[in-house]
Amino acid sequence: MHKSAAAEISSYLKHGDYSVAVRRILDLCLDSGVDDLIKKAINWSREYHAHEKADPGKALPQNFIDTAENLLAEATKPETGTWQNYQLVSAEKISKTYSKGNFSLKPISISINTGNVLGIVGENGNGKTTLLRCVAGQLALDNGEIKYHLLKDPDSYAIKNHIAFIPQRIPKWYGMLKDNLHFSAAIAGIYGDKNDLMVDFMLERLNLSSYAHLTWSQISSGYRTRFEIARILLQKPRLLILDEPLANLDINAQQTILTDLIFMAKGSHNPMGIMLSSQQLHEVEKVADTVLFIRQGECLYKSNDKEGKITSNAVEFETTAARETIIDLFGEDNIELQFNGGFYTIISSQLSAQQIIGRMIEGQVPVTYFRDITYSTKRFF
Amino acid sequence: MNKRLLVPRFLQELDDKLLRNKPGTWAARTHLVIYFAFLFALLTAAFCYFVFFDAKQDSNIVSWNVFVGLIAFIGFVFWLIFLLRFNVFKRYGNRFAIDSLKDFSLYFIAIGAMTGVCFVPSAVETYRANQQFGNEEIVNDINELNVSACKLEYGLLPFTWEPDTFRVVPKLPNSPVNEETTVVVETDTVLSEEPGDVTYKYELIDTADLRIKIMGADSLLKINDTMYVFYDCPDYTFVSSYAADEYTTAKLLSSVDIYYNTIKNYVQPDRTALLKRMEEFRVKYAVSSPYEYGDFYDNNEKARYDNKIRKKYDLSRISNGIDNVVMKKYDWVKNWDDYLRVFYYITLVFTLLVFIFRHSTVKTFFLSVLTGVLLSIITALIMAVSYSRGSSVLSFMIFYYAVFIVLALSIFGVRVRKAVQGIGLNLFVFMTAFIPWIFVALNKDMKEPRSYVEGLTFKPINWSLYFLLAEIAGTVILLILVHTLFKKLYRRWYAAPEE
Repeated sequence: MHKSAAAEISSYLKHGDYSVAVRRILDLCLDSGVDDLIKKAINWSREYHAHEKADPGKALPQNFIDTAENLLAEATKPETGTWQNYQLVSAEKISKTYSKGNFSLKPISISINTGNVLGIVGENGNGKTTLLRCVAGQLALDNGEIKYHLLKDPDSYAIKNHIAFIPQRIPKWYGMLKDNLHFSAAIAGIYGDKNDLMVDFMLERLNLSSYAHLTWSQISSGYRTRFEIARILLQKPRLLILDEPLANLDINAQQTILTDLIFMAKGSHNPMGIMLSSQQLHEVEKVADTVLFIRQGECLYKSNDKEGKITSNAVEFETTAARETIIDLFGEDNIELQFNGGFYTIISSQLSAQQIIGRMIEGQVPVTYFRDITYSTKRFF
Repeated sequence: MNKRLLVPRFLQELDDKLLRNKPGTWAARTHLVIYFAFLFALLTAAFCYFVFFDAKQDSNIVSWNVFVGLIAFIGFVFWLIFLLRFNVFKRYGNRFAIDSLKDFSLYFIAIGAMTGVCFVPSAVETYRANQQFGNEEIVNDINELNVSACKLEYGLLPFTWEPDTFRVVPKLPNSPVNEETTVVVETDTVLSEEPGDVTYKYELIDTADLRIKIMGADSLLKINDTMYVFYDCPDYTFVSSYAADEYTTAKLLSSVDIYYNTIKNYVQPDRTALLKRMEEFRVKYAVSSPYEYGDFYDNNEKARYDNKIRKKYDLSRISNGIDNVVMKKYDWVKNWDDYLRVFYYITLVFTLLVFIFRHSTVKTFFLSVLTGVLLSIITALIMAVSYSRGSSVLSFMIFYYAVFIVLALSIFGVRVRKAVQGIGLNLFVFMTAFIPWIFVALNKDMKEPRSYVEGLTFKPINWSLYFLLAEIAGTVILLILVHTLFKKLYRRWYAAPEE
């Protein structure tokens, strides 16, 4: 695993994708479990960020690349901390009805392993947060059962110690941001120099070092989300549950945070499962192993169960061409064409996505946006 | 390193170390509270040291205590704000077996430090009084003042010892008896009486009263086995201070001492020297008091000579000053147990509130406070309507406590967090330390009426000892339950899922 990661990182370095290379090398050094190596990686990452801040776009000095290669070589040397896949949580037909109000979460079954990402999508007020809070042990179940496979006869405190839940509205932090991180690491049993090391690592890993001495009111909502993720990761949860984590992030940060979480979930330092809800369908679908679509408390679609259920292909696209031009191009019987005011959606049981875009190119239809949504929950919206 | 105002480097380093190694201890901020309480205590002590420069002045220590107490309370609120920030328990962090007890102790120490500051003005006042006036010095000065006044005003002094005659009987009659008897007065018994037969009225007393009277008698004449004449020496102590000689080797001279040492064998004094000395005492001690009503003018002989002498030498103002000094000097020696109780109970109550607050939701905490207040009002109403005795209040409290125990223990049986159980648990925790005391008070309240019925055959009970034992037992039980039961109940209740 280390060797394939090393090859991937070498490729990033070779092609100048330094930002992702820095993050991946940090992960690799953390997985090695060698403190000195982690320290070196942190210092090297600081150099990179300082350079980027001072001279953005300017070529990095050769010694930076040399250090990267040395770190890579050292991090891949010890085959310590091999990643293992095991079941973390399974929920069997869990349901919940609120005593006040008429909303019900219908029976849902899920299972999450280490390294798994379970995405939950759906419109507002349809039960995403309820499901997440049930799994996090925050809401009592009406029916069904949740098993936390790594815990033996756990009480509620042990479950909440085992699982981290980041709500959509993150509670305010008080005091200096870095103190909060040290505190979170310490309550998870990371003491002394290791505490300093892990906090420095997390700050560098999420590129937050330059904000560490600020307070909550001095940072933007996007950075608040990132600090909350850093804090939670320091507590080494086995299951990370995030409710709409992308809501406050810009488009670049959304992708970065998601990929960072996946890399860390799959790392041997603290292999964990991730469960997240989001309205950013495409971003979630890109990283999730399983996607649940929930409407009115009921799971309408689970991406793992797609066999046998999807009988037609679907694409969405944006064009300046008239509706008649598109119908003429495909023939009215071959497709179902819908327009939501912004995008056109074509559903066809005969044509694949490649065939549809091929025809549009042949017919010289101007296309500014195209996406295959055959297996996407987008088609349910 | 996060720099804090007024925090020295070593403390900052300790703070950083605790943050990284002992998050629970760090979050309690006890180390910072102790430091700032110490700084504030030093500042208060320095300020008070200069303000309390004259120990003979009236004490305004209550105002000082209130003032310092208010500042300490502001400090407490400030500390609470810091406590809200970090809580290992509410973050579901790693907890060790001793953590609950440790947290409780840390809160107690922090609140104790803040409460302790409130006693600084009083302590400085006592220190200053002791610094300015020696124990023996006060006693010697009082004696010298009284003797000098007697020497200077010998001509005004009365010499007749007032007699009081009693006949001892085994059992007192229901109605008072006033009979007359003739006693023989011997030479040297008193100055005022010529030897011979004198007729006195007597009163009946029992042997218990006789013992008490003998202990306080200036002079006693036993006529026969049942007949006694007690003589009261005239008062020659124009200046006296209660218990001024309780902790000294020198003792205050009584009127009898002065009578035998000075008056009986009177020698003409050096008036000029004595007057100079009296003026020195006036400068040293005389102080006006806002509670002074002026000298009394009465027609009886004692009032006449007493007032004249007091007025002439400003002895009332001198007495004020001496009383103030003595009160300040022995305040801590005499009242340390009261101070300790005030300190302990203020600290304990606030510690319990903080401990409960740190282990329950904000909503449940305030509902618990509200429940406590409502139950107090309801109980008071029931008491008022039913004209109940004190034991009824205590019984009600024990009943409430039993209900709280049931509610709290029901937490073990359910899997959902309910506010009513949290309220029960909070009040269970709060009342535990006081329950042994309540039981003793109830016991006392039930037994005391019997003592009136049984009269002298009732063996008196040392209730203060029982109350002290109850206080100690309450604390010990509280600490044991914090370590064994309360932490489990809070862990189970707080972390349970919501409905």
